[in-house]
Amino acid sequence: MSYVDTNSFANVGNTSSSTFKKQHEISFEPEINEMINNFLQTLKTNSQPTSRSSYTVSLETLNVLKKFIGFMKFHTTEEFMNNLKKLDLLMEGNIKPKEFCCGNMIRRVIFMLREEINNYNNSLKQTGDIDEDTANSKPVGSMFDLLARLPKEQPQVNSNTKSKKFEIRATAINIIRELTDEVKNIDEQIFQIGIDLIHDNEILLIPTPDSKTILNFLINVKKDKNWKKRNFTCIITESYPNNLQKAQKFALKLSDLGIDTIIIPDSMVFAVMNKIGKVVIGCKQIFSNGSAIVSSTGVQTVVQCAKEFRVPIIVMAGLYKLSSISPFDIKENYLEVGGSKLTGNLLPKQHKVTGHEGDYSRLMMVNNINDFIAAEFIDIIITNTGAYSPSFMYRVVADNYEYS
Amino acid sequence: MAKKSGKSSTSVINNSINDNNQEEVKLQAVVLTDSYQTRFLPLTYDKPRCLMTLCNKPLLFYTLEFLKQAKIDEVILVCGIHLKQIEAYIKNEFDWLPFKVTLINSVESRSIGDCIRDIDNRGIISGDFILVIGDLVSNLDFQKAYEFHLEKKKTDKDYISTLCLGTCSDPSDRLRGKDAATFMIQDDNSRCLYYQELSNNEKGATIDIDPDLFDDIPLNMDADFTLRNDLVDCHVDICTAAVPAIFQENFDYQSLRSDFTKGVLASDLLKKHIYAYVTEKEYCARVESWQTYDTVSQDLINRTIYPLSVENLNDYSFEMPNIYKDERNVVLAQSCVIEKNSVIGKNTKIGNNTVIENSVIGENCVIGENCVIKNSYIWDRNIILNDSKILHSLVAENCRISQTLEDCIVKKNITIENQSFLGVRLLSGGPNPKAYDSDSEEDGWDSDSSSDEDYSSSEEEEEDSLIASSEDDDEDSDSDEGSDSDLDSQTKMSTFQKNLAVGELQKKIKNSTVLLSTNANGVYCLNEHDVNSLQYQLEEANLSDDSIVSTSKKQKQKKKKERTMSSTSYYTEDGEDFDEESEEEEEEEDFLTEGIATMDRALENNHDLDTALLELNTLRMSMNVSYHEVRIAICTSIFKRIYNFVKTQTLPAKEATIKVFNTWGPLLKRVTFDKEDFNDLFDTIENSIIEQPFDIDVASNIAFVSFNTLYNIDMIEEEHALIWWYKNLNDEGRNAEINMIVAKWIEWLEQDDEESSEEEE
Repeated sequence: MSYVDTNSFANVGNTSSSTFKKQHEISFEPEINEMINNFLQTLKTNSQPTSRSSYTVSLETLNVLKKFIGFMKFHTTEEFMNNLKKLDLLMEGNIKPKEFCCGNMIRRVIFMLREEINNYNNSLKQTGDIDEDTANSKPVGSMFDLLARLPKEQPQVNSNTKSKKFEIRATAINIIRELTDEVKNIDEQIFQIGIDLIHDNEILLIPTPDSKTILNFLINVKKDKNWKKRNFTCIITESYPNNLQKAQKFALKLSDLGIDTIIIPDSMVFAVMNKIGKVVIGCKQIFSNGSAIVSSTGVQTVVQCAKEFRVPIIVMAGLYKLSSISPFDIKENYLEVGGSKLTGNLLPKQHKVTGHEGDYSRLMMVNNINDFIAAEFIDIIITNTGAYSPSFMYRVVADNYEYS
Repeated sequence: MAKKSGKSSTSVINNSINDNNQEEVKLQAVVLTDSYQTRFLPLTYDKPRCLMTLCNKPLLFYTLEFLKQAKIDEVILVCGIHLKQIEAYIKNEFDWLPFKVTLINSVESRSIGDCIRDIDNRGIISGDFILVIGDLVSNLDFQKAYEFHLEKKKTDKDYISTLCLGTCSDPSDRLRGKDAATFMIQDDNSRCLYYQELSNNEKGATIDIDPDLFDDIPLNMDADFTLRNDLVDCHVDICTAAVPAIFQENFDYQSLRSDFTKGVLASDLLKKHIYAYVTEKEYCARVESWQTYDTVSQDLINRTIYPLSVENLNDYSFEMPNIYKDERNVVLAQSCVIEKNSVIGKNTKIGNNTVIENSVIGENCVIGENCVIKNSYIWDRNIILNDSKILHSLVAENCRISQTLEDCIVKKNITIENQSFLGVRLLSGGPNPKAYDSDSEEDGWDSDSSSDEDYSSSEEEEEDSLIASSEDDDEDSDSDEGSDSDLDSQTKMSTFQKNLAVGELQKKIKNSTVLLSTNANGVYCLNEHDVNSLQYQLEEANLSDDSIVSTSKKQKQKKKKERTMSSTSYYTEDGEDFDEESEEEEEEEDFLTEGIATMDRALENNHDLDTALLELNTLRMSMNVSYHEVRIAICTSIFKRIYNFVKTQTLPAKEATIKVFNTWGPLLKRVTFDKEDFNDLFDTIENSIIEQPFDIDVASNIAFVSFNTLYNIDMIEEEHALIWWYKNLNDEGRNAEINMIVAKWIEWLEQDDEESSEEEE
């Protein structure tokens, strides 16, 4: 299996689920609480889960984070980092139904901040401004303590390093700005990396027609100036019932650009699979073991079928969808079940007063919103930093995320 | 902000207003936590309806959840005597709400109308607001509705409110509850033109639409109208400031729909417009009766109301065949079976070999071994002993149950040991609940239906009185209530039987019991619908001797009276029955004395006919009686005057009669409209003559002359007279004397008839 060193990642998953109980204990200043609660409230109720995209959620999270950092009162760097961690727990614990991107973004910020701090400390060490003894007297991970306003040594440190004083608030805001740009420019980068995978006269199967990333990728490929005559056909699954409307809009947008587009019912996938060159999937979340969560049902079938026909499966996702969480108890924790109104909508109402024609006591209507794809089905994952094999994802996660 | 006055207090819980967006219009929501209904009665004695739990959360929670989505700035909770409970609940349950919550103590309000007037008097409402009742469960996308409201407000200066309505596929959808109604909506601008509530179970119900409704629509416009009978009215109204003003002006408006909405739509003077926002996809319902409680619970568990779902709202875990569990300290024995559509609250223990299906188990319950719980609702802190069976039932808090319960609703704090109950609403669980023999299902349901009716006065009052009584020893008061309601039911039955053939009644009851037993196998359990239909039929029968107009009036009158009835008289031995009848009679007599006095004055001072009629009409409306009483008053007065003439020998009988009837006969015509009315008029005249102490000869003479005069001034037609006469001939019970009196005239009439027909030939 491709699980490498998952034990160290597992912590995060566990803590986030155990925070449900802790949620009341975490709180900040009233303005901050107000803002966070508002944000969580909009996530929770405002939008139907099918109309919520991880792109907007991550941008919103970054916005909230920016405000949070602006409002936050702190004395030491460590306090600053701890506050960020608390925010992470609060947000991830409280979001129901599950929205992964919030936690991803905060952890990214924490990680990048920590790197900056390390760089800064290293540079200090090199210049020898800081007394080695104070640095060594603290246990591992105490780099921040160097900057703490310790009662005795504070005046010394301040006076010595005044010119180069580490401005954590400003650094954090810079990082957030960087990340915002990264999230916004993801489509372009993915296109650069993925373009060579699409050949002329290829037939692509797209089982997730609600993905913005995939749509932009296809548009970019069609418009590519270097290779004018690239023709390809897209087959789109109808994605009944949750993404029906989106799938049709998606198809129309493609055909407007002159791409041959076919909409098929979800059940027809097996029949067309032998003609298909590649399956392109957009996803909602990628876990550190390479498996993914997809925001429409039926993708699991597509993937199994593709495996049967040896059709390569390509997943495209921005780095912000990468999570350090390892998926345990997928069914219970990550798969969301939607409203049953869509699947049984043609049946007569079950709460009729008169007449007893329909016995609903043995009839159940199920409507899953997400699907889980195990890592072994995925051939390649294309992110904005490069294309990786799913078994390598743990390394990408480690390079980009805070996972303590 | 709210003013603090002597009896009412206001408390602000959460100050969380953003001061930044002052320019934006702040949207307020008024939540009425009291429903002013008694449908859940055995359970709403000391707990308001909005704190009843539905899937282990109080109904108010769902309402607030709706308001959270709606982006409301301030929520005003209007509380009755349960203010403390609601305040405590909100303080404990919510650390944070996206709006400011203001609790208002409005103990004196007896209806929704009173509430709105009260709020308006306090001057809390600043602009537009939404009015909801604290038992709303909805995933309505409020933003869309609000945009609709803003648009209509801009385009129509007479706009006052928007009704948010959901749709259902079938007119008999259980979601519609008991407040089902017909709406007429104009197609092009979705204006609501007509509102009429329907009684659910009435077959072939008709509605009357006044053609005047269409008057203000220009003739050249092709306006189409839809008459919709499939709308779920969840009582979410977006109102402008004009709404409280209308309630203030019409201080007799009580209910929101049947008084306000209907009144505004029907009024020629107000010229205000109400619009209807109909949503097709979203779910909206009120938990306003046991049926809707059951239906909404099932829908919530079946995930029909998504994104409102049990696991998201309660932090429960969710497994596939719709099983929701609170993971905190739930102990499930290894061999227990949790089947589909079940909800289990925290700290609950379930024993070996117990089967749970389609049920909601509350928090802190203990369920023993080998139990079967199906299609039931078990609220918090109940103990269910080994080997018991609970089917299609609801058990409130703190009960202890053994043996079998089927189709039961169990009040809180009740211990049932070694006794099985089938189809009974357990008001009493005292040591000897003799009234509820388990084998006589019929009796059980009878008492149920009647007790239901007993409680149809305002919830508030009842709660007042009940809280007083619950201070006594618990068990005692329980059994007292039981026997009370039993007595009530007996008296009720006897009055019903007066009006309805005994056989017919029994047949109806039997029908309903058959329905009950078949229902028990189906999905839905709380068979109240049948009981209520039965109840409704009985009510109808009770009043069937009046004409249709007066029926509706009487019902209204009845309602009013129940509202004003004092709570002390209510629980006296014989219940409301005699009270009410006597009160009704009193009112009639009041009218008669007043009416006769008015007529006497008119006769003496030789008033104008119109003036007299106006006075009588005013009197009639203020007393809320029918034309029947008016006719009695007029006739009595007329014959009294004739008698005076004769007695004082101013005029002989014949001349006196002719004189009086020539002047005042037309008045009778103005209060008599159709065939039935004429029949009634003849009876009245007869009775009035007999009432006056005439000699029998004089009386017959007067009768002859008066009928003749009326005939001569075209007041009555011979057709009516003959119909009446032959109808009465068959009736043997009639007074022989009267027959003699009138026979003469009828003879003459027939002769006249023959003569005239001969002449024609």
